[in-house]
Amino acid sequence: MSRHRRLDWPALAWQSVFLGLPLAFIVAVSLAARGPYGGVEWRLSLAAYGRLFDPLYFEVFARSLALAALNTVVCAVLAYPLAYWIARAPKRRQGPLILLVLIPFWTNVLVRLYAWMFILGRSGPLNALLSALGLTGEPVDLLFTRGAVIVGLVYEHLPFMVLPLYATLEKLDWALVDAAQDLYATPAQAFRRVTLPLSRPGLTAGSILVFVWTLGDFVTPDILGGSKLVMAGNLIHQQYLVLRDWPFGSALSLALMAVVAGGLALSRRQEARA
Amino acid sequence: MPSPAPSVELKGVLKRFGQTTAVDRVDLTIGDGEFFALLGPSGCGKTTLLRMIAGFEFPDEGEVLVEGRDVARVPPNERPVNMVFQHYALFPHMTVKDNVAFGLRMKRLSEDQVQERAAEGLRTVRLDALAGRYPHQLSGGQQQRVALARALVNEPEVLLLDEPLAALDERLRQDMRVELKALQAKVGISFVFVTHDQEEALALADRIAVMRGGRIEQIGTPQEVYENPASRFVADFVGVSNLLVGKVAEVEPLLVSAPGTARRAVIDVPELGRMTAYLAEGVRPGEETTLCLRPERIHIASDGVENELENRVPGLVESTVFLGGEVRYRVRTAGGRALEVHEQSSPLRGVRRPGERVLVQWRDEDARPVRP
Repeated sequence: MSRHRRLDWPALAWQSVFLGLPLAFIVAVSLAARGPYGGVEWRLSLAAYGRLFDPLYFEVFARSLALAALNTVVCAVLAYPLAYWIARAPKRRQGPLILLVLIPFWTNVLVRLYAWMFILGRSGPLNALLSALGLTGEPVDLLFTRGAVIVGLVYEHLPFMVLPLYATLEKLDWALVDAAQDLYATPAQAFRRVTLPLSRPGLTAGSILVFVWTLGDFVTPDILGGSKLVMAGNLIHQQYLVLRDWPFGSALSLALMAVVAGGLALSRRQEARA
Repeated sequence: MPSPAPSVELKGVLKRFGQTTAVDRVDLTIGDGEFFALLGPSGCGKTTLLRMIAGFEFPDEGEVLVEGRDVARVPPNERPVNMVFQHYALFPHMTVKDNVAFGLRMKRLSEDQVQERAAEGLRTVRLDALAGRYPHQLSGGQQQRVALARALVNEPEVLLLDEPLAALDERLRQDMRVELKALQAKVGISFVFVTHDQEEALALADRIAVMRGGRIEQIGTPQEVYENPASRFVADFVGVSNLLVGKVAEVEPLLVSAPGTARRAVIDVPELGRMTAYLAEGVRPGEETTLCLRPERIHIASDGVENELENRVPGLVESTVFLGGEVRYRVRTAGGRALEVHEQSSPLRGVRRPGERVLVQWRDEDARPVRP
């Protein structure tokens, strides 16, 4: 017991320095007032929180949550077969395959998004392909649409779903699937009754990662959505860096955190009940 | 009416994995209600053979018949066999009861029937009190019994068991052997099990197939396999044996009352000297022969004592291991050959100490010729 306590200390120290302090700062700033030329005036004010109830921001939050949920579902559907296939590949090939999933991380996200701008652009390869196939006469506007943002979000977050899914599937005892089939389950039934429930931890972890990171993303909607699609991340980014309203930016951040934490707590409770 | 077809029949079954041939044209017939062991070292093809009967592997050549029906290409969920997996493969996210009910539910029995038969299955293995537990809350022996119940509630024609006792500790293994044997007698279906443990095969099986390199070396009852090993490999793998390789010096005329058509021969064994044994008819002087001499067939006497057994070799006790009911000696003969000798322990005889001079002796019929 006491030994465990002692082992807790480094983790606690780490959390305090890298999570606790910045968070405390944001809470403090959110309760302060905005200075006339940006910056923070250190006097207690709840003005920032008052502005949260503007229906305009509700709409942005709702849109962000819906988009994050959509991205999570699309990532899960695309990542599952890939993670499954890698986990069932021969052991010595799994490492290289996972490396391929990780390679995009070697390049800056901006560079990768600009590549997508090129791909989706009016004179890009996708439009060229479409017209070569005779599907379209005129080049289609693919870029700066909601669809482009979704493609970008999925592309960016897919590895975060693949990795935890692979981690659970890789540890799965495949004899359990054999056992299910031995007990008259068809391959589809064996998947639904055994593989899927046992890979739920990976699915949950991946979903949380993708969902939370999508909510905070502001680069993708900016670049691929042409700044037309404002998401929670964009809103916060604007308050801090464009409008220099730190107290309101902080209040928005905390509100977003509260929504995410509430959602997680809810899904936890449901998980425990199931 | 008893079914005329054997439970399982394999005809010329061959299975390759890449370059290696895991199972090499095996023919095998397992009778109705038989307790059958596939015995061999790892990589001998015994597990692949079992998985082909279960349907997890399809043979590249040959037929797999269960109750007379060729199922070589039938997937596992459509075969009338069930399996107990090596580490039981119990579903960790289901209770004991749901594990046992799984097969019944997949067969779309009514929920009343599912409940009834699952409960009955759990009673058979005396686990009804633990129906609501999860597998990780059970001991190894209990998990094993859940795995048995989960397979048996489906009333399969054949029960397959992959190293059923390997994951248990020694004491439990002894108990489970008795329990398995009783269970098999009670349900009356064929049990086919894979093991690398020769003692387990001898203790449980009605018949044993000893496998090596994808082929069957010998099939027989435990007594046949132990007393009359077909080959040097079987003699070595099943039980402990002294393998004596020598040259036939003389073959006696067929006058003595030899068993069957065997001929008594004099054999020169390097480091041991001259010995006599019964060899197959047609053996000629000058041929090489391999003999299997079981350690418990060798008698040990103090040097200089009069004896009646045909083969007598003086030697020196090199090591002594007292195991309670049995004493195991290693005796070095005058010529330099080491022999394993196992003797029932007895307070009258006492235990011989290393360094003691002894005379080891055995009967002609106890050294059995085997295929090299």
